[in-house]
Amino acid sequence: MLKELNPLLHSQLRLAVISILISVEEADFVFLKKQTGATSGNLSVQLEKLREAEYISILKTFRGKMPRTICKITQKGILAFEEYVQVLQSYIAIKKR
Amino acid sequence: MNKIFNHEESLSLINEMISQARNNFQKEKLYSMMYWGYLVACIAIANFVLIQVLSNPNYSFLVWLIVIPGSVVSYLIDRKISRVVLVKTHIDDIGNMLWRGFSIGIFVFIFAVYVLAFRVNSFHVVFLINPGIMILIGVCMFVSARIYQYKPWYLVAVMFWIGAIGCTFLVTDFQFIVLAVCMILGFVVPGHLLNYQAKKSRA
Repeated sequence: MLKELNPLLHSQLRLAVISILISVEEADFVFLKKQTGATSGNLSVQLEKLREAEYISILKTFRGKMPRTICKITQKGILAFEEYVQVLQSYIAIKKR
Repeated sequence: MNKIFNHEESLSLINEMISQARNNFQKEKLYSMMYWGYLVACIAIANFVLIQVLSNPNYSFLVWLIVIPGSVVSYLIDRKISRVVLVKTHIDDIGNMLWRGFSIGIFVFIFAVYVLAFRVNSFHVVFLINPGIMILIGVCMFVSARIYQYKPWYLVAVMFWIGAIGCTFLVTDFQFIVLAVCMILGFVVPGHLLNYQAKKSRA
């Protein structure tokens, strides 16, 4: 019996964000927006969902007078991503058979 | 960009995002590299000139004390850069640690050479400083070429190692000219080239 894909990660924007954050130490909101091509509003909503699940941590700070949002993946997020990739690979392997 | 999608699309998105993010090392760090290239080259040339003009050439080495305020300026540049960078990758972290380790290594090496010079009562040992520094820079450049995937730095590493060997044949003040040339060709020129490429790709 195959495990179900984590619904929180099986969404294009949230998966894109987690994939970026797993390969960097930390990333600014502006960087995530540029890399994913998402709108600010949509990205904020999806980041909040990932934060509520404790997959990422969000640090709000200031650069001079400009607000800055820095995102970082948590240990729980790393484990969830690894599990997601494993399940995904098993689905693809079955499809290929 | 928030639809549910199939397994293959999901996997290709992961690959795409990871490869994009990994290639995003801090290009702003090039300013720091160019700064050190110019600074060390200028100090080396100044040291060469001072040896020729001072009645006691030993005082010429004091020009290297400029490195102390120079390090403070470098720290301030790095702090300013860290405020504007949008992403910090693991590669940046490894690169920072490599060059931080190099800086500590340089101080330990110079200290050890001077202690040795006093112990054997021969200041000829200090002629090892320039080749030693150039060997260490070569090692850092060799590793940087691999981690940042920038092949010209392999050539820079080889150039520094050849420079180090060259210095052993020039046990004179001309060692400083070799060091200055290597710093310009190894730090300043690639820095400007990478900066130009980065600006061109942004345009």
